[in-house]
This record gives sequence, C-alpha cells and structure tokens, in this order.
Amino acid sequence: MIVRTKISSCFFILLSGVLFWAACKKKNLDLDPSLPTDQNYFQTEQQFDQGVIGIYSKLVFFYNYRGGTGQEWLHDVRLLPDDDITTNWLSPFESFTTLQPSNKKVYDYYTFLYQLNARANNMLDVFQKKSSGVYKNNALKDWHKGEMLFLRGYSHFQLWNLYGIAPLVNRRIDNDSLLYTPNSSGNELLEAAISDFTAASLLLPEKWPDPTYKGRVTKGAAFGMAGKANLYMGTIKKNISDYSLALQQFNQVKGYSLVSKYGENFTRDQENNRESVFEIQVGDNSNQEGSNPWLDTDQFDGNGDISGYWGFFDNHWSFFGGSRLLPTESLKTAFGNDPRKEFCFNHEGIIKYVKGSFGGDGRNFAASYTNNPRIMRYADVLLLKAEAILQSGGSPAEAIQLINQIRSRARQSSTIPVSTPADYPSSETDKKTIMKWIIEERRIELAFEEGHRWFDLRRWHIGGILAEVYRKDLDHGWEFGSVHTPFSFTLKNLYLPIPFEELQLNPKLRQHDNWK
Amino acid sequence: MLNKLRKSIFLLMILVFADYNSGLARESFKYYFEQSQRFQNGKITLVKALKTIEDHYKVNFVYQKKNIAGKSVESPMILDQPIEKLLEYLLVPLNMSYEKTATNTFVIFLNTGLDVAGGYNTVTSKPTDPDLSHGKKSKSSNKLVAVSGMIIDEAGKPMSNVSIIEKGFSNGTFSDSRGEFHLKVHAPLSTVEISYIGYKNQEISIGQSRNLTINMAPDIKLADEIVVIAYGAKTKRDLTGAVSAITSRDIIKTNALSPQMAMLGRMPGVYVSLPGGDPNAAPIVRIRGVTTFSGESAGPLYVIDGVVVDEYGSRSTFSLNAQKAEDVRGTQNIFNLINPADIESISVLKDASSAAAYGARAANGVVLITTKKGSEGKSRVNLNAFVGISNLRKTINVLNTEQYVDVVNEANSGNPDFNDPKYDIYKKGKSAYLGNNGTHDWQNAVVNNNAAYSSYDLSISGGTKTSNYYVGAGYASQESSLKFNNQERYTLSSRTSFKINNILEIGQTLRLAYTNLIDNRDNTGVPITLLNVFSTPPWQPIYGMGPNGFSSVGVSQYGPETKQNFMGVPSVTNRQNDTYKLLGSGYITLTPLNNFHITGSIGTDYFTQREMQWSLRTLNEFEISLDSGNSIGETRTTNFLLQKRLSVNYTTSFSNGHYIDLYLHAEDQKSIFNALIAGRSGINDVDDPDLFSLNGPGASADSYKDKNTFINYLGRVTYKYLDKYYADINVLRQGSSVFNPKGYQWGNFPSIATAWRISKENFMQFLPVSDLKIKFGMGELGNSDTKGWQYLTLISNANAAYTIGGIPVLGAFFTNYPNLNLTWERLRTYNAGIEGTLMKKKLDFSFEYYKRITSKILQPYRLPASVGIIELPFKNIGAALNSGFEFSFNYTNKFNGLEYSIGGNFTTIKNKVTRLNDNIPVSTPAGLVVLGDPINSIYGFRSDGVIKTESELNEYKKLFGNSPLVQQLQMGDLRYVDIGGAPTPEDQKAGVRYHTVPDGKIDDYDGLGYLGKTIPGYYYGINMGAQYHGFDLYILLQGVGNVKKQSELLMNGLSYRFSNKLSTVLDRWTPSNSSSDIPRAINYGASSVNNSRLSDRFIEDASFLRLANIQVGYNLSEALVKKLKYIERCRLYISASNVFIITRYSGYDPENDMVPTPRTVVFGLNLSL
Repeated sequence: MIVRTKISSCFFILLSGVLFWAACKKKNLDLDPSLPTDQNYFQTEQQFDQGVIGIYSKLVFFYNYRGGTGQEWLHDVRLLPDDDITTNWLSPFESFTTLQPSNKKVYDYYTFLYQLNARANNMLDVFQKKSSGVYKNNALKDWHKGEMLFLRGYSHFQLWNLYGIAPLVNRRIDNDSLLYTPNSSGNELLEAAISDFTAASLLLPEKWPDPTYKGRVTKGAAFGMAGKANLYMGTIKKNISDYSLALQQFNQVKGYSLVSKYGENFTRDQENNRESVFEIQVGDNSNQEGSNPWLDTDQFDGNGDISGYWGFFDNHWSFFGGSRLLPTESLKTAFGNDPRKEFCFNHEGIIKYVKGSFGGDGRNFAASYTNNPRIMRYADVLLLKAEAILQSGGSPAEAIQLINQIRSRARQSSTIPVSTPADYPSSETDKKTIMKWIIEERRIELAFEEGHRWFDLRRWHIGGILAEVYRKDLDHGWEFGSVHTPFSFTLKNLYLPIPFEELQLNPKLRQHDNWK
Repeated sequence: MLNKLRKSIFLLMILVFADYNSGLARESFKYYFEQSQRFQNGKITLVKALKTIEDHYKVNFVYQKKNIAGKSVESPMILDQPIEKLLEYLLVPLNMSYEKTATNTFVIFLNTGLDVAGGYNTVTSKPTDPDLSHGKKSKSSNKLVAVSGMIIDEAGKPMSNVSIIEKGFSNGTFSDSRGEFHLKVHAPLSTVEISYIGYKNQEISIGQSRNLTINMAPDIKLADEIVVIAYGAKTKRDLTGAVSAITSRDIIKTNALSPQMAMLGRMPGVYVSLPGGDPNAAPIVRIRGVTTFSGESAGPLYVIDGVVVDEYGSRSTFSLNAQKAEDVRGTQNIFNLINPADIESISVLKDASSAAAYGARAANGVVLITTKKGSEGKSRVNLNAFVGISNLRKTINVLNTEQYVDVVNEANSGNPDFNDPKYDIYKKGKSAYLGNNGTHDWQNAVVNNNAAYSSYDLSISGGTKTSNYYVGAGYASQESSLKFNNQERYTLSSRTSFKINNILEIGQTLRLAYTNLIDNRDNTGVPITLLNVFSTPPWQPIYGMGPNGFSSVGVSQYGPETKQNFMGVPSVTNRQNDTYKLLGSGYITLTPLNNFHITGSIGTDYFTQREMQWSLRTLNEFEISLDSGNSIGETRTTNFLLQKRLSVNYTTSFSNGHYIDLYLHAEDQKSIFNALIAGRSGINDVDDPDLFSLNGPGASADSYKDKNTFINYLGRVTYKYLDKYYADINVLRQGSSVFNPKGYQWGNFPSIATAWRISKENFMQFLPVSDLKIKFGMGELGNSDTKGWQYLTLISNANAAYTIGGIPVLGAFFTNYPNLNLTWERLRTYNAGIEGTLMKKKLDFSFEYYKRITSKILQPYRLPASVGIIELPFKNIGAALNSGFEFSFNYTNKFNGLEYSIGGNFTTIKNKVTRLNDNIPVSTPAGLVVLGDPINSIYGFRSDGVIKTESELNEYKKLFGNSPLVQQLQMGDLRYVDIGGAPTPEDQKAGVRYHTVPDGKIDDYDGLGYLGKTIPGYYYGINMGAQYHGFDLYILLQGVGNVKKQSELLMNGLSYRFSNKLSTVLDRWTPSNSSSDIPRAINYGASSVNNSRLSDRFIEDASFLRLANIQVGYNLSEALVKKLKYIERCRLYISASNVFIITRYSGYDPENDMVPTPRTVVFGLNLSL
C-alpha cells in the first residue's frame, strides 16, 4: 500500500515536472524589436540616404511653429537682438531685460542644435563602420559624407555664434563616459565648423544630378559656409591669414549668380534659384497624417511637421497676441529710397517672405507656411568676399566692385527706373570707409534674414570694427532701435547664457562668467 | 453639521469605551464566579433557564415537560454567546441535546444513549458521568488518554487536514486523508478545538468518549474571515503576510461604478485618490507609499480571478511611451468595465511574501479581485438597483466684468504696448468697449447640475454538490459633473465549476462588458475642465446669434482676448468611445492523489476600443482648429493578454502537528497591443458624420503595435505547527522580455513570512485575549516597467521627413541612447506586526510596521541636451526608502437590540530618495525627484510678502545687482527670499542643487527651494455601522494629511495675464491698500515675470477630511417579507457620498481641480429572491 502510494507519487511528481518544463519556453522572452536597430539597418544606399535626410529634418525645428508647446517658435532668438527688428511683443531677446538662463527658447535652440549635431555624428559613425561595400555609386558615398559633415558644421557654427563656449561634441556618444561634455574654450566651436565645412567642400558635388535632389547641400554651399566661418575667425582674431583663407573659399563658390530682381529671392515659386547657395527646405505635408504645427515635429506621427512659420511677419489675430515684427526707425532711415524697401517692409510691418496678408505666401494656414528660409544667398557671398578682400589686404577696387554688383541689382529690382542706390566710386581706398559701405550694404541687402545682422554685429564688435568705423560700440552708445523701455544691453548679451536646465544636468558644464 | 458630527463621534467613543470597561468587568466577574461556584450551589431550574433564553435570544423551545421537570442548571448563565454554545453548556451535562428545526425553533430532547452526532451544526459527545464534566479542572489529576475520531463534512464525506488541538495544551494533530485522527489528550477533562478554513470552529469536551464522530458545518459568517490570497485562501488568523481584504458587503456600500473605489478609506496601507467627476477617469491607488519614481508603475497590479489585468501603456510597460498610448486610446479606467456587484472580495497583498506569486509587476502591491460564485442550495436571485444625482460642491469666486476691466486696465496701464487697437475692448468710450457687456457666469454654464447616476444589476446563483454557477448582468449610466461627458455600461458575467469525478474538476469565468462614452472636448482635443473654464473673461457671452445658439464657437469673436467658447465648441465637434471587453479564464484541476492537485489554467484579458470623432466646419472662427471642411477620425485599439499557468499543489500533515503545503507553478504571459488610426479632413458639405467615408482626398492612416512577455516560476512552502507557528517561504524566478537577453532578463526573488500565535501559548491563557499573533516577514520583488528593447539602438523612420525636390522624403534617425545593463528594479520589503482579537472577539486590531527599500529604480532620465537624443533613456537610476506604520481596529457590539460597529485605520508614510544617478535630479510627470527629499516634491521660490516701503524696495533691489529688473521693481511687487546661489563642486558631489549660503542675489538658484511633498504623510479612514430593528446606518470618513499641492488654479487665477481672476485680487496691493500681500496688478515686463514665478504663494496644504459615504437602510421586516411571496430579503436605502470635505485648500477640491468629485445622493434597493 505504502509502496504503491510512493510509486504513484513519484509518477505524478515526474509528470508535473515534465509539464512545468513544457509550460514556459524561454525563447518566448526573445521578441523582435518593433523598430530596426543600428545593427540591422544601414545595409543599402537608400537606408544611408534616409539617415542623411534624418539629419536635414532637424533644420526645420528652427523654423516651425510649435505653438502647442508654449508658443516656442525660435525666430526671436536670432532675429530680435539686432538693431533692424523690433517688436511691441514682450520678448526678452528684444529688450534683453528679462532674459534669464532659464528661458525656454534659450534651452530649445540649444537642444535642437545638439540634436542636429548628434544626428550627424551618429551617421558619421555608422558611415565609417558600415558603408564599405554598401555603395554601388561611389560618388554618392562621398556626397553623403559631405552632407553629414556640412550639417554638423552648421550646428557648430550656430552654437558658436549663439552660445560661444557650449560643449564641442564631435563623435557619436555611445557610452556613459562620453555623456557629460565640458565647455569648449574660446573659438573651438568655430574651428570645428571651419574644419567640417572645409572637409565637406571637398566631398560634395557642385551640382546634384537632377531636380529630384533639389534642396541638398552642394560644394558651393560648403565653400560659402567655410569661407564665412573663416571670415568670422579673421574678424575676431584680426588675422589676415584667416581672411585670405576665407577669400580662397569664396572664390570656389561656383555656378551661382544674382537673380535679376531682388524680390525673386523671397517668393515661394522662386525657391532654390540660382542665387540660393544654402536654403532650408520647408514643405507642405498637410494632406498627410501628422502635420501638426502645434507640436514639435517629432511629437507627432507620420512625417512630423515639415512646415516653416513666418507668422511674426504678419499680424493676424490668430497669433494669440504675438505682435508682428517691425523695422526699426534706424533701418527705415538706412533704406531711404532704396528700391529693395518694397520687398522688405510696408507701413504695417515686415513683409519679406510673407508678401500679402494672412495666409500669404504658402498655405492658407496661420501656423504653417511653406516658403523656404534662405540661409546663404550669393549676394551674401559677394559681400563677404568683398570684406575678405578688404581685410586681407586685397584690392579695394575689387571689393568696391563687388558691393556695386549688389547695388546695381538693387536698382534693377525696381519696377520704375531709379538711380538709387548709386554705385560707390571704385577709387576709394580708405579701408574704414569701404568697411562702412560693406556694413551698410549687408544691412540693407540681408535685412531681416536669418540672423545675419546680429551675427555680423557681434563679430564686428568683438573684432573692434564697429568701434573703428562708427566710434560707437554695442555697449557704448549703439542704437538698437528697440521700442521697449526698459532696454538694457550689456556685454553678457553677446552670448546667450548656457541654459540653466543644462547646468543642472551636466555637472561638467560652467556658465559664462558674465552670466553668473 | 460639523458640530453634530463631532458630537456623534464623541458619543460613539463613549459607548465603545464604556462597553470596553464593562466587558473587562464581566470577564473578571466570570472568572471569579467560576472559581467560586465550586463551593456554592447557585442553581436555577432548567425551565426557568430556558424561559430566560427564549426571551433573550427571541427563540422558541419545544420539549416534553417530563424530560425537563426537576432538572436544574447553574446560575447565572452567560447570555452574550452563540445560543448553540449556551445550550451545549446547559444540556450536555444533563445528557440532553437539541436540534434546530426552524430559524428560531429548537427541539430539546433526552439523549437515547447512542453515540450519534446531534443534528444541525452540533456535536454531542456523551459523557457517561455528567458530574465529571463539571469537576475540577486540575492538571494533576489528568492522565494522557488516546482518543481517535473521524471528521466528516456536511455531505458526510471524510475531511482531511482538519486541525484538532487540545485546548490549553500544545498537543494537536490533523485528520488524515480518510478523515481519521488520533490524539493523546489529558482526559477526561479535556476539551479539543477543531478547525478548518470555511467551517465553524468547534470545541468538544472529551469526557469519557474515546471515539468521536465530528460533523463539520460550513460557516457562512466565517466567510468574512477567509482572506483570498495568491492561489488560495486562508483564515485571517492564519495569515503571515500583510494582507487587507474587504468583502462584497462593503463593496456594495460604495455605490461606485469602479471597484477600486470600494477600497477608499477601508484598508490600512491602501491609498485611493478620487478621480473626480469624470465617469471615465481612473482613481490613483498606491500601496504603502510610492516606491518608484513615476507613473502608474508605482500603482498596484490588478488581478481578477487569477487573470492579470493590465491596461496597455498605463504602466509604461511597453516601448511606446504611456503618453502616446493615452493619446491613441484616450484615458480610460478599465475597471469601469467590472461590475462591483459581481465581486465577492478584494484582497490587497502588501508585502513581498504575499505578492510573490504574481511575479513581475507585483512589486507595488497586488489588488486581488475575486468574483462571486454559486454555492450549493436552491437558486438565489439578487437584484440591486440605485438611482441618484450628483452635484458639484462649490464654484470659485471670480471677477465680474466691471471688476475685470478695472483690473486689466490697471495691469496694462503705463505700457504703450497696450495702446494697440486690440485693447480698445477695455477702453471706455471706444466703440469696441466691452465693459457694458454684462457678466457671464461660465462656471455655472458648464456645470452639470443634478447629473444622473444609476445602476441596475441582477444575478442568479446556485449549485449542487458537484457544480455551481453564477450569472450576472448589469447596466449603469453616469453623467459627468460637467456637461461634456457621460457613460453607459452593460456587463454580463458568468462563473461555473464542475466536479466531474473525484479526480477531475473544471471551471470557467467569463465577463463581457460594453461601454459607450460620450467624450466631448475643446477645439484642440483636450478635455474641458473647470480649470480652463473658470478663467474665461466674464464679458464673453456664452449664448448668442452664432451657430447652434451660441455666441460663437471659435475664438475670434472679440479678437485675441477671447477664449474659445467651451459650450459652443462641443456643439460642432463630437467624440465617442465604444469599448468592448472580454475577460475570461478556464481551468482544469486533476486530483490524482488526495491532497495532490495539478491545475492548468488559461486566462485572457482582451479589450478593444473604437473611438470616433468628428468636427463640423461652421464658421471662419473655426479655421484655427480645422483647416477646411469637416474632419473625421477613427481610432481602434486592441489590448490582448494571454496568461498560461500550470500549478502543482501538495498538502500533507503529520500526526505530531506539523502541516506542510507545497505549491509550485510555471506561468507564461504575453501582452500585445495594436492601434489603428485613420482619418480624413477637408470633407465638404456633409453634416452627418455617419455618411463620411474614409476613402478620399485628405485621408490618412497610421498604426502602432507592441508586445512583451513574462515567464514566472514560483515555489512556495507553507508550514504550520499546531495553529501556533507559521512560516511561508517563496522563491520566485522571473524573466521579462524587456531586458537584454544577454544576462539581464532573469531575476530571483525570495521571500519569507512567519507568524507566532502567542495566544495559543499556555502562559497567555490568563489574559482576556481571544487571539493574538505576532508576525514578521521580509523578501524581494521585481519591477520591470520600462520600454522594451532599451538595450538596442533603435532606428525610427517616423517624424524625420525633409523636403527634397519639393516633396517630403522619409528620413531615419537613432531614437535612443541604449542601455545594455538595464535590469529588474528590486523592492525589498520588511513587515512586522501584531494583531489580535480582544474583549470576547468584539475588538479586532492590527498594528504593523513596514519598510520598503527600492533599489535600481527603473526610470527614464534626462541626459544633457548636448547628447542630442530625443527619447529619454531608461536606467536603473536610484534607490528610495518608504516606511511607516499601519494601524487598524474594528469593534462590534450589541446593546439592547442595537448592533453597532466602529472601525478605523491609519497609515503613515515616510518617503525618501536615497540614491540618484550622478546626483542629478529627475523630473517626472508627478514632480521632481531630488536626492534626500521625498519623491516627487515641489520646488520653487520662497516668497516673502510684497514690497511695502521705499526702503524695503531699495534694499530688495540690491539683490538684483545690475539686472535690468531693478529698473522695473516697484512697491507692490513680490519679494523672494535669497536662499543661495550656484553650487560649488563640493555641493555637486554631495547632490546639493544650490549652495545654501545666501549669495546676495535673487536668481534661478533661489527657485530651487524645497516647498513641500506631494505624497501624503498619513491617511486614514473611519467607518461606523449600526443596526436596529431592521434599520441600518453606515458612515465612512476618510482623509489624508501632511501633503502639499501646487495649485494651477491659483497660478492662473492670481496672474494678471489675459483670463479671469480669482476675486481675491480685489484686495491686491495698491498705493491705497498698501498693507496687502497680494502683488500689484502688472501685466508686462520683468515685474510681471517676477511676480508670477513658481513660489510658495501657489502651494497649498492639500490635507482633508471627507465624509466619504453615509448610508441609511431599512430591511423590510420578516413578517412583511413573508407576505410577499418569493422574496427572501428586501432592503431599501439612501446613500450619499462625498458629502462634505474639511480642508484648507482653496480650490475646487484638493484632489482634483479639473473635474472635481461631486456630491452624490442615491436611492437604492437590494432584493433577494
């Protein structure tokens, strides 16, 4: 009896053991991820192409609306500090008075620049490790690498101009020891930008093979940006060799020319024209799931929002109290009767990019415009080149001739024959006078465009050029033209503060001395 | 009202106390009496005794006079004990027995001399010498005598594992598989105690009998005492771990549609936060503090009849983040889909040992819901119904139009920016002036007065010896406290089990639910809340000549200062949710040997939801939210969980009193989530959304999917010795698919719980304690709530398009920063307690101390922006400590036909972050996690009143150095305390966020001050019940304390931005009201920014005491019920919940300012057939 019980116990214990073993298969835990990984992706040219597009897509973040995230469009960060634009909307970037390291736009701009930077770094890493054997088209391989370098260079360049001593991140961050990058020092970021743009200029094509590639960066864009970065370096270091290098690079910006009329640069139907050297492509995916200008572009599914936002140039009620941007009195005076005026502002406000009222150019939707921001026009290159010639000790006449090219096109832009702006006499040799001409020409020609004026003022201040030409300086009597009282520019405002949030998250990071 | 309440609480306490004293007195009197009666002959006639009993217990005795005559019994009798016991006490010595023949009738007869069990619920043993049983109980005269016996259940079948213990000694045994037992006792004066779960305890005097047959009777009352635990049940006194439970009687009292609410205020250690007036919102439930940093992964795991119920995304379990899942599906309380009337009991497993069996995700407690099943006997029909209304308790005082215009003008004055024509609406004399518009009460417009609330359910249950069934059906509907939502629910449930033969048993549960939810929202798709509505400018009209009788539906009517019309928008948009849920399980149990069971079970939790939304284009104002034409969207989500389990259970007992229960299982869980989103916009000229087709221009579609799996192996040994010493040992090994397969998927989690029933020891016998137990347990559990595949670098194609050649081209990017080492979060729990029953079982109490140490907390954390990734990576980031006490008691007594009870529970929580990755604070949706502080605390500036004098102003300006703010600061501006400055490297190393020495500057670092904790320091509940002649009363008070809340209401209502303001701003600082501490009206520039910074000005004490429920019922008298044929029981009641709240919090409700919890009054009926 006892024996029988024991046998049957053994049997059932064995049976349950077998059932147990069968009940759960350990392989049930090994699930395939819902997304591809860096291990199994990037096996084809097309996948590398997607990786490159992924970097580009970050550029739109600096231009789209994001109204739902607290109306955190970022245009005022680069547009309002200068002396061309003011607004009766209460922006700390205009009056400087309430700007704090905890300002959200300071943080967002910073964040997006590093996301652009990281996407480029990640792709460069993958490119180095996995591209061999993948490309059938070896030219495309170079072009892709050129684009990655160019876009990383652009993040360095912006970071230097806005934040000065922000961290320099030049590689994929793939382990914990790399998470906390300390401040860069001095001009490290600008040097890195020069190096990336220069490297890109050697890889990129002069022209992409057909119109389906329209909007991708070119050799010319890379040389243009490399030259610009070198020129900035020359300005702040007062160094002739940097100017010379810049000049060499400007000379390599080939295949571009001024369009016949100034206004053609700012309409949607003239995007990516022959004068456009580097242009951020904003698009219209309104008919597709996911276009939602109220969210960050990566907060919504499908494409994300790929449209730009020019609402600040308009004054429709729907902008929730955000007033339009206005030209300053000093800029209006500077324009005088220049025919370019009619493309830049009218009695209501600034109209560049948004000719017409609400809905204007692009889509009939307040928060979603499709007109591309022009980051670098050939006119900009010509004026930079004039400056490089002048500052590197080249022929003043050659520099003046370049300025006159711009002025001549300005005259042609008018619908009626005009004589202003007249050509400058090419006999002038006083460097200060010619520099003043360049400064003033850049101000008019590039008015309201993408932070040019503010970046120029900064570098000319740092390089002592404003003091030399105007006997005034940004912190000494410079007329910013803000309609706001109080207004208070101090030297710390040459840089944005390192974001307060970031200081909390990165123990190795320090604030600018002036912002402490 | 309050005074009355206080008075009645006081009275009740006096009653309890008085009774406690008299109880003690009686206890000692009895002792004295028992001592003295040996020497005196205080006897009365049996006839007289029976008469007394008849009167006292309201029963009738039937007997032959000749049997009774001349017999006498000892006096006095103790009347407050079960009548059966008393009769036994009286009759057994007289060689008599009784039999209960009807509810209140007992037949008394002389024993015939046969050794038989005596009828219903009773046992007689036959002492041959009646005098002996009343002789001296002295150990010296005792000798050990072997007795044996047989224990049978109500069906006459032998029962095994029944415990037989001699009273007052430590010898005992269990019945074997044939129901037989052998025990040596100190006969003949010995008494043995016989007990088994679910059966009435019996005490039998052995007398001269050596062979007993004992009939066990199921104890319906005792069912309360049985606590459902993981894969089994125990009587309360056998519990070793920390478990609280409530049964259907309590659950039905809450009149809530969601079962979680039944736990409110009823269980120590269980915190339930009311979800507000939206019928669809889920309450927050936390067990013994908050052990992890964020989200619902800090909430408990819910298990219904053994099936894990997990709402996708609600615990951030999957690779999509919870917010996104919520966006896709919408918020929903899936427990609304379970009809509380179907629930038999809810157990909350609080410590590692109790919860271990549920493995993954059980770390933060398990809420075990067991539904009703049928029992043997005739079919029972139950009908429950209630109808009622709910109303919000309060609205907030805001400015009228005149006051509003004044304040706006004062706030804007002095800034030329406000000369813009759009501000003409505030300028007297301008044609656009709105000051004469009258005042429009937006709050009352959106509040749903007398919101309807009703529920009806019907159930039928019954069974035979081998099968049972329960079938229930219900319908409920509830309107929100605001006019925008309401919900209807249909439920159907069934539960059956069949014993095919001695070896095979099968069973099944199935519940179906359908809810329809109308969920109207504002023009950005966000739910409309009072927090949005209260600040609508008072001059903005609600009704008018616009569409559907509203003044407008969009935002533009009066320019940019207009808010959207919260009443008008829902008239042109609509959103509806249909949810279908199927929760089911089935099992087969094989019993090849006695006490050896093999059970295989499969459970599924499946729910699918269809959300429809559409918007009608009506006016230009609407172009903001709708670009053109009508739009329609449809979202379908599917949530599927499949759970397979194989378990083996073996119990055995030894004749020397040891008992062992061995349980092993292997379990496999798989969860799958799918979502399909489709929509179309730009549909013209169709007003009926049902006519839309998704096919056409502007159509779009998207989908999500996700899955995860778990494997659990569990071994559990339950050991018991003589109902005195207990131990439970669990070993759990579990694997989760979310971690790296290379060594991080598996975790081992042991736990142990022990108990000592000290009251069973001899040295405790002299104390007036019925039961006393000391317990201790410790153990570990794991939590794996994280996104999946964090160990990989994932590539996404979504959201990364760029325009090339004029068309959007898809991009790809790295979404995350991988963490290869991500693994289980571990929770170690310690539990120590004492619990017992005093005062002849009238008072239960328990006191427990708990400590919960979480380590390797899984948490998304922020990397520096310079790393450049979008998704927050997960990491085992820190550690936290929760500890506290739980105390609960329950007292019941009778007093002249009044039966009353009072119970209470009190829980404290101390909570601290003890370790944090690189000492960097982590922000979570619930707050900020800072080393050394309570989890999710509030931080900000410390305000110091407003600047009232010139000298104060000049002094304060110095703190701003060269800052431009200096030019704008004025008297009437808010002043902050300089608490410190930028941290030194030493501070950073120590995890201190700012250097705590004032640096003479007010800057961002002064905004890092600790302002309060968001997790209550203590919470409590008090319940009182009374019954008197068919009437019953039930009161539940509930409260929390030591908690702060950041009031959005104050932040919006005290700012001078565009929006209506709280009427307290009328007392703002002005030159003529210079003593006020409310800052001056200013709407621009640095001062405005300065005054509206997050500071303690917006932090309020959110402690409260709430009268959660009061219920008065009446049971129709039996006489009346008998006349109504077929009706067994009929009770009518009226019940009010959330009656009042005592709090210092100034908003709508300290728990919810969005859609506050209303006061609900219902009238209900419980009917049994």
